[in-house]
Amino acid sequence: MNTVAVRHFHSTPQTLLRRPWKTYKDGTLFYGQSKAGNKRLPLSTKQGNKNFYKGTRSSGIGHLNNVGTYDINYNRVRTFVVPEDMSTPLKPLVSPSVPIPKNTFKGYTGITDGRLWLNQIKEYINTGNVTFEKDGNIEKY
Amino acid sequence: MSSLAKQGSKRYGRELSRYPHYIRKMFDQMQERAQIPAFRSEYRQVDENERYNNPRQWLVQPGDTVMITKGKFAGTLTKVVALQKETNRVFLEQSETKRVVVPKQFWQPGQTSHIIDYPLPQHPKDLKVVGTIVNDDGTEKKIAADKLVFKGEYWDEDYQKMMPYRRIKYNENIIIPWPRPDPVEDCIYSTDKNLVNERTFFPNSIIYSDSPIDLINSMRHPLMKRPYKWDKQYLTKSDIKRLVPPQPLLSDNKKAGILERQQIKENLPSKPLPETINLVGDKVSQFLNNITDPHLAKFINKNSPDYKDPKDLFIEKQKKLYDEKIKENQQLNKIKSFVEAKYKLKRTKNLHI
Amino acid sequence: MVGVARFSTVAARFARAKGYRIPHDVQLRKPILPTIDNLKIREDHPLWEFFHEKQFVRSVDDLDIQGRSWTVQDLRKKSFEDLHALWYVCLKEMNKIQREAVLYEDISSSKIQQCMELETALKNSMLSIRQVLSEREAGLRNAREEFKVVGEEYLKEFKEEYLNEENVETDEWFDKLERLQYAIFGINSTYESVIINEEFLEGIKYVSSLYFDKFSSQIEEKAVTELKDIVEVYKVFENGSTLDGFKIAIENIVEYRESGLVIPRSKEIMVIQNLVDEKINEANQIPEPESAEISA
Repeated sequence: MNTVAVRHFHSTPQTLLRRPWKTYKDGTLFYGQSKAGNKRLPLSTKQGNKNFYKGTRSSGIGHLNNVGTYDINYNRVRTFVVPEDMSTPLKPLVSPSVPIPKNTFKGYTGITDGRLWLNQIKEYINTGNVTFEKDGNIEKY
Repeated sequence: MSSLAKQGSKRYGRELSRYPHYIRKMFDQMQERAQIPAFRSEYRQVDENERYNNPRQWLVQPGDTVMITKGKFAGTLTKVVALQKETNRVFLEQSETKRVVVPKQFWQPGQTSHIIDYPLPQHPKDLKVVGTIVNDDGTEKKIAADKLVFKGEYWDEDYQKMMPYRRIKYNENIIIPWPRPDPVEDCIYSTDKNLVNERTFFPNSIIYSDSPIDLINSMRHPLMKRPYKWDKQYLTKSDIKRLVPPQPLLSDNKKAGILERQQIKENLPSKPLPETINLVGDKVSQFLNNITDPHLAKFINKNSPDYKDPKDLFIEKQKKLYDEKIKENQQLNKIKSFVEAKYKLKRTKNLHI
Repeated sequence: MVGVARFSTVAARFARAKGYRIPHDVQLRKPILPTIDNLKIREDHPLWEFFHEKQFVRSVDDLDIQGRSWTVQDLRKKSFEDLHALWYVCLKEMNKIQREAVLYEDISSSKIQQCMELETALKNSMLSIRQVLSEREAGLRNAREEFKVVGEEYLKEFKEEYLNEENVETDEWFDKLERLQYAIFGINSTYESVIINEEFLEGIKYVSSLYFDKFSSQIEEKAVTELKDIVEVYKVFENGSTLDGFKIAIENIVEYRESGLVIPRSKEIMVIQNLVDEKINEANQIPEPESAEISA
């Protein structure tokens, strides 16, 4: 929990920096918001000595050729595979009126059990579809 | 790393739960001091792991009728309005209040004064749940449960979860039903119930699923979380290079080709044949003899191996003449010196005598 | 003044001679103030993806979340397309809320708590998606391992059932065989994005053995008593689902045997790849029946 945010109701970040009248007897810091907390944070790009180079994981996707232009190797460029149809009706959260279903795996060790998948496949070969039993909130596999 | 991530993350964040209890207490006091009186809570917040999270612990739910057993309002019947999860307490419709001064910026709509009565939350152990039982003659009677027990569970449609049966201890046949919760409306981010329950995945093969073939490699680096750090489970380029035996530099075919070319080279004649020399010589001489242009002829003659420059010839001749002359003179000198010596001797003899 | 004139260039002197270059009839417009109302951004700008309903920050009502995040149990029902789309829906929402959270953090607003709540819910949804996908991969892998143990017996049972059936030239059995091909050996009947591997070969061997055992007893002349190499197997697999087709396949095999070729085991995949490619090319060259009708 952030202990600092609640103390700010009477001041803005600017006034917190400009407070020469402070005697510091109440423990208020002149600079910063708190002395507590983790001080071993990862170095930023501006920190470290002359040998420290912190990239953005965005370089190294090609090489300079002898003309002096950069040849991009597109096999090394990061790509994002986007779904063909982005207009899905699904939304990021689930309606609060939908309970979390309970799954049961009777006779199997779990969802990753190979026999479970294989039996579903056998059913598919025989009948053309796979049926899943549902009892109230319990989904049986 | 944004400072938001620092706050949120467990690793880098400034988390109160990681500090020992006495330092946490200091932080709580600091926080308390910083708050304006209106927002200072009367009761300290409880730790995350001690907070109530199920109806068995809470004993009551919003909407329950309860009887207060402690304080100024002991004996009154009220209703539970809300649960305060941070302090494990509940807000009641009628309870003890605290007079607080609220700055104008925090005024609620309809508020006219700086001073308001703020209700104090009550702990569930200071409350008795009130239920109604119907007598045989149809009259209703309210009873307050001294102690509660929970036995059995049922699926509650309104709560959308399994709820325990709330019974009165020693009279377990009397069940005090849970109050009906207020219906929760969907927010703009929530998916419709039918869409959530619709099943669109059906396994139909043990070779392929409906996802791309090497999906797992794109989701997770294959070197991560393997049981043994050298157990790579896949071959890198350098691994393959190391495992494949080196190719011979020259293949058998190439070697045979080189040998063949060497033999052909050896079998070739080192000197031209006499027939070739005659043939070429005839052709060249025939060509050179037929030249009519005097300049070209002069040039060719000049380049022929027998040609001698007339200047050189003249110099040679002069040199020869010179040499001869020198030889002649040498002879003459010899004679001269001989004669001179002879006469010299004579003269000296004469002198001595 | 003389000294100044010496420094002036030809161009400046020229300009001075002509006076100001701006014509006198030009009227100055009112200055455009740099406020947000004066900025016009096109409606389909890609950076709008970072804004909730094209607002700077979302309203208080929109920040009030009531739903819960998707759980693993919910997502086990969803196909890969759904999960893929849902991932991007969550990602976009995450971009929006994180952008707003930074703004709220700068002014130490209490709304950051609500932002964090939504962010956590989204993060949990996304984690569940990854969980389900890896579960599915593991299930598939385990099913393959399981099939190595019990698969032979299952295929034997299926063969018995097929051979005992009187009439197998029905749609029901055609569909069943098609499903079996895809489910066990990954053979798509249209060869769509097909990969020729050991499993494919195993599949065509199994299916052609079904056809051969079923129909070879129904033919009078016994020209072919067994399938010798992979080309013969493929011929039976392609045409042998019916008795008439099987007869044609047998004729083809007799023709093929005259050439005296025998494909070694190491070249089987290459040969089948060529045959399948030929088949696909043939299918591509034939114009679709609809367009043929229109031209006629």
